[in-house]
Amino acid sequence: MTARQHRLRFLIFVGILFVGGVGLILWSLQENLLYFVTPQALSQQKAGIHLRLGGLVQPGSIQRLGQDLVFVVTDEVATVTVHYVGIVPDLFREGQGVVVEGILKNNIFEATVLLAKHDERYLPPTVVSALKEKGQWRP
Amino acid sequence: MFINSTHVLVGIPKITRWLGRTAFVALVIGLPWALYYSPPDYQQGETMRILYVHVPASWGSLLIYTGMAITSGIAFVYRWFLGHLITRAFALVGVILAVISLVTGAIWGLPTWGTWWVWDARLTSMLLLFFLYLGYFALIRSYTYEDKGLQAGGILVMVGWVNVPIIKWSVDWWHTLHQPASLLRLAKPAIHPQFLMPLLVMAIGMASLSLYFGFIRLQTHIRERKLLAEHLRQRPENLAV
Repeated sequence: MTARQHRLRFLIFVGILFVGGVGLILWSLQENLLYFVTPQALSQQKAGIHLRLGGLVQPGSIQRLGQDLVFVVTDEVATVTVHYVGIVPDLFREGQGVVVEGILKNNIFEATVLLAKHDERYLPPTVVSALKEKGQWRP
Repeated sequence: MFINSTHVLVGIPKITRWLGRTAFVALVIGLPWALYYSPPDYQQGETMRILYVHVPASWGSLLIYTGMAITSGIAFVYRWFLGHLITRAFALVGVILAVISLVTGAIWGLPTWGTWWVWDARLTSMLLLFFLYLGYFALIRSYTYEDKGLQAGGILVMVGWVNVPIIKWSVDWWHTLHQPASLLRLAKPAIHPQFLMPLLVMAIGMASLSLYFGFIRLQTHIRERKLLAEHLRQRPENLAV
């Protein structure tokens, strides 16, 4: 075959091997690459380790007592009660995503960091009000 | 190979001028639309306007890197040296867009998430793309002979390209703080037309501007090399340079 065909085949062969190798590494690292675990998966983690928990804030579960914030995180399968003291981002609300970092102690997740997670939807306020009036709003 | 440097110097200047005009018009329309005449987001408010710069910059840095990998691949297989010159010309545009993506992302993250930075899969892989761009520049400059340096750079670009699909699907494969895709996905867009329209205009504007700068750089590099070749022809004793 020509030198050019040789180079092309070499490129493709090495490329497939390399991509395959990287894919294998990523697949094997799955658990470790998660930025957070869900409430359902929390029970499978070793107790007492510092980790991140992510999910939705259960509507009606937010309680503020002075500096203390207590609420429930849910992934619609399991729930975890979270206790946090500190600055709360504006986007932290019921029914919205949240990521907390801390340690599970006596079934309460003591959080040292609280981050709000927003979903991928972008809608003007007028559209949201119109949907709410029609009863078609999905939070 | 079919297209060579001389073809480029003949055909590209006119295209480049048109790209410049397109960029100007698109940005003159897009920026006021994005920053003022479009509504705020029901959830994020006015801070969502960073999207109109952050998203096109992110797309641009990924697309340019992909283009660089393609031109490097063709250069490698077909011994097409112009491919290496195109790769180098667009590398600077790509790295600047990557920086814009990372910085605007951080500025956006602080009021929305509550932090500038997290080591989740999306942000980390995007930072890695930035390091790949930097690595490309470091590598090509480390060679005595520019031609060899550009060839080595081409290998780096192709190997590093595996990061691009990782960046794209990081928000789907792993739990991340960064949001999932609003537009480039199989389901219907999750972004309302009142935001999508100005976003597309901004994307056209920033893409045209990027191509404009890339082609200007390409022409400059080609002219530099032609001047150097002419100089060496007249002064063979300088070939040691």
